[in-house]
Amino acid sequence: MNKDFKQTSRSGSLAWLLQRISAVILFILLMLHFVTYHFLGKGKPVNYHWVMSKVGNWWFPLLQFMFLITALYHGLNGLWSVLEDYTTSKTWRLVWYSLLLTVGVVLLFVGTLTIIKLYTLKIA
Amino acid sequence: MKIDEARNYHKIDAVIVGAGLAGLRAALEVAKSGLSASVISKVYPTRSHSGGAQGGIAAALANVGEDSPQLHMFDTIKGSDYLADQDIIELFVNEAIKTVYEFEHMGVPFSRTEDGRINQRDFGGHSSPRACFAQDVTGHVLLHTLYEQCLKHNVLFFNEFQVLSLLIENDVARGLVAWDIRQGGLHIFHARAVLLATGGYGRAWKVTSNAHANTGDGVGLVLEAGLPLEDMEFVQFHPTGLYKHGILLSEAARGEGAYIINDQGERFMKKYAAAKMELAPRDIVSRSEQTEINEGRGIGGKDYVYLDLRHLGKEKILQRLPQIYDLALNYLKVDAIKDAVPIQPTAHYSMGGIPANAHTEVIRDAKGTVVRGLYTAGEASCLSLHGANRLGCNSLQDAATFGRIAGIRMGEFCRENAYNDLPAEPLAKAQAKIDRLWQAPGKEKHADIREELQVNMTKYMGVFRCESEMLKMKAIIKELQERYRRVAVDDHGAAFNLDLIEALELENLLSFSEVIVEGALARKESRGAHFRTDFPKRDDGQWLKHTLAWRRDGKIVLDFGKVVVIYPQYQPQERKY
Amino acid sequence: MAKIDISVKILRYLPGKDEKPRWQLFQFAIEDEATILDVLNEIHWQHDGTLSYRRSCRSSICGSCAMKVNGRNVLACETPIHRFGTKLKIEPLSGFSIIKDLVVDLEPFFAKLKRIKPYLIVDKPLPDKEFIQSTAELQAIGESTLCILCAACSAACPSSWPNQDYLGPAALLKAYRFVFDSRDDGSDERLEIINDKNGVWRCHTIFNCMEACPKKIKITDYLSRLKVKVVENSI
Repeated sequence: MNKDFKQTSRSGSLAWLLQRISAVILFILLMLHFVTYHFLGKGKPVNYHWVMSKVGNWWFPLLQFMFLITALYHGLNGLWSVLEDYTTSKTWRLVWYSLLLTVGVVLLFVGTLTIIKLYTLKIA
Repeated sequence: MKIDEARNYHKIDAVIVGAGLAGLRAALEVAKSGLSASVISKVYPTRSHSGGAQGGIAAALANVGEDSPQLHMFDTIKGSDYLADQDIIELFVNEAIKTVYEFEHMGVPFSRTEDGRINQRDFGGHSSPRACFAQDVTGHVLLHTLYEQCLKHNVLFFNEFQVLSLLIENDVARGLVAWDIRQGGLHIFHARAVLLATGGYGRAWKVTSNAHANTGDGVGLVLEAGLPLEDMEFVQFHPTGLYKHGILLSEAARGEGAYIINDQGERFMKKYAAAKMELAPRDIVSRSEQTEINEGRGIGGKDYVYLDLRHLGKEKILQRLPQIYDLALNYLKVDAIKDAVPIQPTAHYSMGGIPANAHTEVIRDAKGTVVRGLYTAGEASCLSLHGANRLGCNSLQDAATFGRIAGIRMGEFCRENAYNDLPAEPLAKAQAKIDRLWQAPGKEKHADIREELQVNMTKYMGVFRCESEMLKMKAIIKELQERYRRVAVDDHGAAFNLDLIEALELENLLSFSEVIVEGALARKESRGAHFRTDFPKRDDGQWLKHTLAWRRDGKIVLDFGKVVVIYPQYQPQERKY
Repeated sequence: MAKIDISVKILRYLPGKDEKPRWQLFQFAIEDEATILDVLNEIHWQHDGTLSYRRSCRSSICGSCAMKVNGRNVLACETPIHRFGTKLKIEPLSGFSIIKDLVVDLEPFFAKLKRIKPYLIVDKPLPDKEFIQSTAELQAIGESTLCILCAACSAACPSSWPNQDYLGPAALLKAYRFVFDSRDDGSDERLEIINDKNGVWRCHTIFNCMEACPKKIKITDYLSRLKVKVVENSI
């Protein structure tokens, strides 16, 4: 009945470090986003046309893609660490992990498609 | 309840009762030597009351001022009002230095001097800054460090076990019987050597700095086993107990420069100990305080005076005395930076206890005959290191140093001696205690009896004593012992039965309190912490001797032992501070 | 000093008799300066002798009497009733199994403590006197040595509740205390132990432990420093 500290032999240091790094990147990207979209417009209203006028720039897909990867990683990793706290059975952990992984892959795919679509849309 | 031989029988080289500084230090020594050591404690080790000690641990390191073991020795002899045994003190002051360095090597976070050495502060009765300290939580860090070391060396802990009887036959200790508080049930501990490190007996008083656990169980068990107790009448009252609560405010406050003042705002210690002022030994300060209160100069004419820290300033108070600051704030809602703290004398330290020689072997008569395999150390013991009055910071040092010596001696004893047979029916006595409380016909409540004992001990056996009052107390104890026979407990369950434990403890309180009163009645003089208004002078001709007390056929029988005076220069002289 | 009427609800549990814990109500008058421990003593000594709880020093240093009062983890001995008013709800610490009434099973708590090697490890030869330690070096660990192992922090930790395998804040704080001790040589082995999913990484900086600590130790801060140290060490 006495539960003791059960070592898993799995370190969480990389996950923790990547979570911090992704947070810092997210913060920088968010600042870039604000600067490029909201302050560089110099009084112009931020509307559909204005945004569409930017999507063809070389930095647009780069910014959006980094946004996509870090936000997905940061969000899903955070969710995973919470779920891992509250699920102790191996089976359920596998279920949740697979689910989060699937969600991640799908969203990455959809997101990447959208970015490419927008970029190529302007070119055409 | 039948004993389950497999689960409830333990064969262990050295069984140590009590997990305070003395018990843990001894256990560590035994375990390091490769023998099996187990510690039996009624609380988790880190809950032991050694952790309540705040001010420091005394050793003549001379890190801050000029000092030497000889000076430490003289201070301790004078502090004891010349009743302490000088051979014990000599051993003590020399070992003390080693004890502190050992602690430091174990990781104790001592406060430091500017050059990174152990810092030392002034303390009452010490003529040099000799108290090594860690802020004002010295006992706490020493206790935790020792516990950590015991974990490292695989000491076996039986936490939350109450010892109910000692197994001694033909003056040889064979083990003991204990009650498993958590699950219920009796356990036999079969041992080569047994150490009693059960701490003090300050819970016999209402106003006390002692923990609920300090019910003098070891002292009571020894008395029950037909062995004597020594100098029980000497109980130290600490001058700075938090008003009404009795909770300790460390002498470290005065070591750092705090004042004690009366209703007129006067530092009254100048009338009683002009040279040392607030840093006179505790018996003297407590007596002075009580005199001021009795003569109507308590604050507002009431039964307390002030401990004044204000002039020390916020920084020093929070840096050096944070626990004291918190205690005053939490319990009395007094901000010690802005206001003076109400204090009164509080029962604090038991100088008396289980008699033992320099090897910590328990002795059973004035000639020093040893009970084989039975040892004692710390506040439970009376070696006698503190005589009639202990100096601050000598108690942690006493517990640690003689705990170590006990550990070494027990180790040697265990290697040379086989297990002795257990007496027939080893469980009988312990079982009878439990059965009686569960099957008692009466309706008396242990809480009521304890309350009456404590209130009256505070009233009649306090800082000042006189024959007529002590006779009253004697009669009260007799009556309470009679009532105790009819005590019944509400709780008949096995699991964590606090009701049962408290009733068992009360038997010990009632038993040794009688010895305290008898010893104090017999000792017709005033010495150290024992002050009689009807015999206000020390009488070396008659009373430079130790009291030994037995319980025989329900009566207390006294005998007296010699005080060891080995140094002609430390002959008894007038004690002025 | 005046007496006031209070009503106290206590979560009672007697193994073998109660199927699950139940609330019991006590109503009586007590001095307005009373502490939670005074309330429990009053009940135990005057109203119902079968009530069990742990207590010892009365001066907030032994760590016996941590329990939950009106939803907060406190030391019963140092907590005046006026902090909560006249209606009290007293229950055992969360996250531990109950032995009886307010007494919980602390064996897992102490077992976890033992797992992090909670003692100074010294490889270098011992000096004749003391190790030299600067005040700054001492200050790095000073506050963490005040821990009284009362378990209030671990009982307040949401990461501990669902997952009993987690080391918990108290054991990790002890790891911090030794890893950052200038005299210690054992930090590598200790960091290896806590560098585990059930070690320091299950701390998600929720800060509940810090709020619950009766000694006001900044536990979460120290655990964060410990995480950085683990990462530094593994790079």
